[in-house]
Formats: sequence, C-alpha cells, structure tokens
Amino acid sequence: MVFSSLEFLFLFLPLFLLVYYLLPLRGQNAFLFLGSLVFYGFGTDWNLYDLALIIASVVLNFLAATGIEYCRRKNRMRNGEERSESKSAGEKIILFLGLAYNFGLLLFFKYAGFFIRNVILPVGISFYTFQISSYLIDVYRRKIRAEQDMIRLGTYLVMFPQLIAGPIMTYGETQRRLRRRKITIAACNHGLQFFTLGLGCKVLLANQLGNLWEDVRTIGFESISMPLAWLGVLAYSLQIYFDFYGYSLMAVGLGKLLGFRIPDNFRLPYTALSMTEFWRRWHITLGRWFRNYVYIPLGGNRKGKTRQMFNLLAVWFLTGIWHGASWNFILWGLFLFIVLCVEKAGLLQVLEKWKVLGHLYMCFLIPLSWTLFAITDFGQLRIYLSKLFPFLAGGGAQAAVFAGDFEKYIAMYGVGLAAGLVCCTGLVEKVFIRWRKKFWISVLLLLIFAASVYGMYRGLNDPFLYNSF
Amino acid sequence: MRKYHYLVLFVTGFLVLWPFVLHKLYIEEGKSVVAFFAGEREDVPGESENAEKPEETLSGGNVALEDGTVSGDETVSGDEALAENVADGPEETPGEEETAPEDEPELPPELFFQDTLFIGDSRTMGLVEYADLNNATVFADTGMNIYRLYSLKNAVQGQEASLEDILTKKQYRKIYLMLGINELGYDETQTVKRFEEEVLKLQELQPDAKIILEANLHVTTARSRRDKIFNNEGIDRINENIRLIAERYGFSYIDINEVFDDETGGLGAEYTHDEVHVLGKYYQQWADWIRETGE
Repeated sequence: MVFSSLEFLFLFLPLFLLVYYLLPLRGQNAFLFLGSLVFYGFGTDWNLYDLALIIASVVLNFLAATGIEYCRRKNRMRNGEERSESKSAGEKIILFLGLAYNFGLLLFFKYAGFFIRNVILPVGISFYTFQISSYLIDVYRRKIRAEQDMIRLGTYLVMFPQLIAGPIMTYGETQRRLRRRKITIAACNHGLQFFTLGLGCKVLLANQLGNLWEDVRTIGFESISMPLAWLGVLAYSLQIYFDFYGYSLMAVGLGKLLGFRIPDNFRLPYTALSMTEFWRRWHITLGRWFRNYVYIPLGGNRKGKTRQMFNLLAVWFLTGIWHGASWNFILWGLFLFIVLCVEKAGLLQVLEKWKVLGHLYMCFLIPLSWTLFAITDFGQLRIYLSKLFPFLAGGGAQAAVFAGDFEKYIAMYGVGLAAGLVCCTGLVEKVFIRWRKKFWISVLLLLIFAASVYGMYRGLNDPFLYNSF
Repeated sequence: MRKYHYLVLFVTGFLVLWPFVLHKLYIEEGKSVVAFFAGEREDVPGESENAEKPEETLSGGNVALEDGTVSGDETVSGDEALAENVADGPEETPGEEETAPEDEPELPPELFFQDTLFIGDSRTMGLVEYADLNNATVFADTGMNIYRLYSLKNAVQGQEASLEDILTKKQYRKIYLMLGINELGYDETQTVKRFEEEVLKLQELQPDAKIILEANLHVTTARSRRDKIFNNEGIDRINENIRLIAERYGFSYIDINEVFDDETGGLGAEYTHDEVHVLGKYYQQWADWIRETGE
C-alpha cells in the first residue's frame, strides 16, 4: 500500500486516525505498531514471511540491546567502577551478533539475486535494517538507553509513515515522542499541508514525468536521438526527485498527524552548486547514517588524506550497493566518489565562488549520475551514453532514429517538465513558507489535493495504465 | 489567533470525495480498467454509456461518409497520377473484390509502399516513426480506434490531420488497416460490426485500393496474464473476427505475430520494454516483413 493510493488515503488512513485519536498514549503506541503491521501486510500482499522477518528484527534487536546493557551492568559491578568507557567482551559479542543478523539478512536478500533467481527483497528491508542497526549501535555507544518496552521499540521501527522508504530515523530523536507526545490541531493542519504537497509531487509531477522515461525505454535506447536522450534523463532526474521527495514530505506530514517529528530528507538538492553539497541535501538521513556509522568510525578525516580517501571510497561503495544489487550501482557509487574527490581537490572553491558555473556544472552532472543509476544493464548503459555523447561514440550499430522525436515528446511533456523544473528551484517552498497561514494557500493546497485524487482516480498513478496503444 | 483553514478545507473536501472514491474502489471494481481506458480518450466512465457511444460516433461517421462520396469525384486526377506511378501492374478494377496481386512483389522495395495508406494506432505510429515506409501516407495516433476514425486527429507529423481529407484528396493503391486493441474494452459485437462498416466504407471511398487488414500485435504473455481486458485472448478474438471480415469480402489479411511471438504465443520479451510495443529498432523488421508478404 503506497501513500499515493486511494486505498491508503480513503480507507486505511481515516480509519486508522479515527481510532488512534481516541486512544490513550499507551494504546496509541500499540495501535500504531499493529496498524503499521497491517499497512505492511497490505503492502506485501500478506506475505507472512516478510511480516515475520520485521517482527523478528524488532524482537532480536530488543533482546540484543537489553543484553548489551546487562553485560555492561555486570561488568561494572565486577570492576566496581561507576563509569567505564571500555566495553566488555560481552557487549562486543552481542553487538557483533546483532549486526551480523541484521546485515546478514539484508545482504542475503539483496545479493542472493546475483546467484539465485526468485529471491524477492522484503519490502523496506534496506530502510528498517539501517534504522534498527542504528538503535543497536547507539545503545552500544551509550548514546541512548536500551528500550524497556518492546512495543515502543517496535513502534519506532515499523511506524507506517516511514516504514517502506524512510526517512531513516534514529531512536534518540524519536524516543521522547514515543513516551510523551501532544497532538495539536496546529500540527495536524501543518501535517496535512505537508502531506498534500508531497502527494502533489508524487502524483502530479513524478508520475507524469515517469511516463516520459518509460516512453524512452519503450522506444529503446538504440532508436532515440541525442536531444531525446537528454530529455529522457532530465525527466528521470525530475521523476526520481519528486517521487522520493514527495514520499518524504508525505512521511513528514503523516508523522505530524500522529504526533511525531520525522526528519527532513531533502533540502532542495537540485539547487546545489556541487556534488558535495548535493549529497548534503539529497536523502539526508541516509547520508547521516553513513557518516555516523561508517565514515566517522573509520576515522573520517582525522587520520590523514589517504585514509580519508579510503573512508570516502568505503562510504560510496556501500552507498552504491545499498541502492541495489546490480553492478551499475557500484559504478554509480564510484563515479560519485571520484567526483567528490575532484571537488575536494580544489574544484569546490571554484564552484562556490562562481555560482553560475556551479549550477551549470550540476545541470550536467545530475542527469549524468542518474543515467548511471537508472540503467542497470551495462550494454544498455553504453548505448545510452553513446546517445548522450554521440561525438564520443565510435560508430557502432545504429538503429533508425525518428527525427521528430524530441519535438513530439516536448509537445507531450513540455508542461510537466517545465513545472518540474520550476518546482525543484525551491520557489514553491518559499511561497508556501511565506504565506502558509493565508487562506488562498489553503485553497491552492486543496486544489492540489483534489487534482492528485483525480489523478489517482483516473489511474494515472498506475504505471501500466497511462498506456493506451 | 491562529487559523486552521486547511484542516477544515481538507476535511470537508475529503468527506465530499469519500463516497466517490469508495464507489470507485468497490462498486466499479472489475469494470474500472475499462473506465480508465475509455475515460482516457473520451468521457465514457461506465459500461452503460459504452453501448450508446458507438452509435453516436457511427452517425458522425456517416456524415463523413456522405462528405467523402460527394468529393469522391475529384479523385479522378488521383487515378491518373496512380496510373503513372505504378509500374505496369494490372489495375485492380473497382468493385472486383478478388484480386491476385502476383505482380506486386516484383516492385522494387522503394516502390512497394508507393501510394499506400496506413491506418492504425500506436503500433502504426511506431512503424511510421521507426521504419522506412518510403512515402506512404499514414493516419495514426496512440489510442486510435475504429469508433473514432473520423473524429480523432492524425498524430503523424507532416500529414493531413483528418482521415476524411486523406481519403478524399487522393486515390491510393493499397490501404493497410491495423486497429482493434484499443477497442477491447468495448462491446465486441459492436466493435466487429463497426469494423466491418468502416472497412466497407474505406472500400467505397477508395474503390481502386487494395485493402489489407493487419492482425493486431500480441502483448507479452506476462502482460496478458495481468490484464483482464487487454490480453492475448482478446487480441486473438478480434484478430479472428478481422480475418473473417477479410475472408468474407476478399480483403487480404496478414498476421505480424508470426514474427514476434515467442513459444508461449505472446510478444517475445526480448522485442519489447513495455510488453505492448516492439522496440524502435524492430519496426524496420516489421516493415520488411510486410514487404515480404507481398500484400
């Protein structure tokens, strides 16, 4: 069940909220936990195996964290110390086992596909593995106490606004509201505004632009012109942004409706002047996770330039494979690593000084990096790159190209592309923040909501339905 | 004092939309796919209206037919041009249905589609865009269907916008027609009846043209299994009906599926991305195959 479906919006959500608001806090957590499992069940077609895995993840990590604290306490009593920074062997073993379980499963499901067919990735496992591991590591690092209440921990992991695709929250930033939260009318009002903006991004922008990219794939990369190749990857770049940004906005909005604060995942990434800046603005909670649990533990930038390079490489290699079990994601990660290294070597100052240059540079790099991301087959990728840069490609098998393809698809998608380009400059957010309390903004938002519902109603959210023959 | 307009507006809007959406989700379930597709092009949300719609457009079509026959006299000049262009092949006499086009395969490939008209949907769009049809005239658009031949505009660049103009301004030697998949959501008897009428009308407007009815391309078996309406069973049924029409009136009938089908009888997965259309690079093969059929 995705947020941008009529079932979620008109059945699950109202029924859920109705009960949720009537319950006392303790009941709210339990209901949110169970309701999210139902949400997950719907999303996975009641694949009980997936459901069992996520519950097992909660239980095992709950026990592991409790075990770590138990070992710590025992160790302290034995040594008679009040505060000790050193970790006992027990703590280390339990952490290791817990992480081995979490990441072992993730690795298995993600990469078994390399060897065995028909291994289906449980929905959301990439996200919830990272989230629950951050909990376990934070307990081990003594940043937080182990949770005494399994339902509370379960609620943190599975709460439906962030279950399927993040943002990846830490337990530290969530636990206060798991214990005490106030749901105000103002927060609900604000939450609905966020949700509506996110829904609009997803249904009105991402889905439409996604159709253009699908059209390009339907034609086949051999048969597209260079302008259409650029147009296609522009559409893909906008689609992936509005899809994910829209989803994250909806998550933040739903969080507010439930009395939680879900962290922002995007801060106008397409306005960045460099790749370095881009990745501070894109999928922020993932970047934060890699920084806190990989980059800094490896030594970050404190152990010399060479070591820093290695740490960066590790982060980007892992970021690459986290996104998917395919070689192109590794290539994509390495590409970003190289770009970031070049920027660190001095390009960054230039780009930040000459802002126009920075924007132009990103206008080129963003679509290019998404090309590597989007096309999982190397043969196809090579063909696509040869279409983007025909002057670099030496001959090769050329299929017939329809000379008027660019004009045709500009005519079909020009409005959507223009809207997408305007919306990624941050203009909409500025208008929204400036006049948030004005009545006309509310009317505008209602129109966005109605248009999105209409889009869903007409089946525009279904990638298979836009297509008449 | 802070105001919560949006909360109020949202809840109101939500409650207004709620019954419609529930109706959509639970009452129309099953028919919804038809509604999506029919609704895409024309506002025919329910099945009840579908029965009326064809008649409505039918009458519209008849008007066009009358117009067409009125201006049909002008096509004499077209005839002369045709006589010059065709390399001494025997002219098919108007009205005579059984023609034996033995000489046509001997046409050089670049002349094969001389004075030829293609009529079709997105698959024909693909042909004109990605295959070399020489100077053939093409009337096609995504979503084109037999009910709206005379009301939908041509999407092919650089060609006349309406089929009526295309048919009345020139006399063609051959007309290829490939339609039927978009009509799968409609009532089948109606569609077949309409198809027959439209083909006969084509013949009337273009008495010298040889009419070739093309089978609709299959979708992949995977896609076929997912779709209650646009599946290969439906396509095979409409194709069979088209074949019968061809047989009854002595038109030619060609079936592309022999080229692109896999062993399961669906469009081969390697030929397609969206499971419905062949990739751009295969349209030339398709066009070459038409040439090889000699039809």
